[in-house]
Amino acid sequence: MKNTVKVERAKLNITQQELAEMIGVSRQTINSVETQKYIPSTVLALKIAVAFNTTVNAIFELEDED
Amino acid sequence: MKPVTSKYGRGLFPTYFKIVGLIVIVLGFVAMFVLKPIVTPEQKPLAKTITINIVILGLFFIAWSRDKIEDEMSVHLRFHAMALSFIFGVMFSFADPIINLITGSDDFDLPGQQLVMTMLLFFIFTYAIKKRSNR
Repeated sequence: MKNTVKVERAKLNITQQELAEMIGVSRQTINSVETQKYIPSTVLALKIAVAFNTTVNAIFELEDED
Repeated sequence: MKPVTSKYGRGLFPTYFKIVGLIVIVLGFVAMFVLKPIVTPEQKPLAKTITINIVILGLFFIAWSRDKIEDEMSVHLRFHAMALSFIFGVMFSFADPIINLITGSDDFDLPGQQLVMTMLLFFIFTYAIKKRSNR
């Protein structure tokens, strides 16, 4: 699953640590989501979307192999 | 949004138990060396059981304590490491008698303590490696 978390974060000019604190997870979790090593749960995906004031669909996109 | 550590850390020991676990392991090894010259040959198996159990308790404290931030990914990694250590335990119980056969040992029993200790060690290292690779 592709995502644009890094792009959205860059738009807001916030660090991984700041985003992690905003949504209450570790910086490692944000890094793993950005590098697509970890697919977040629906709850975390919604929290990320809320933090960026957008929708889950705008950030996360299914790939052919999903 | 509030941190999720309390939600995901339920059922785990507090973070400081990692240090408590280390102290317990050291105490176990110290007890091993202190008791060695004191115990009689009859008391040796009991002393061995007690010291190994102390080390296992220490390993369990380390394995079963919360991270500073416990979130859904740490739970995911923890369960993955646990599944791998379970598979490793099963493979180890099959491999141990074969290794003993090859090395010419006639002891084919795998003590439960040895298996639990190996699985705990495997879990701790697997979890640490998984966390490190997700940095």
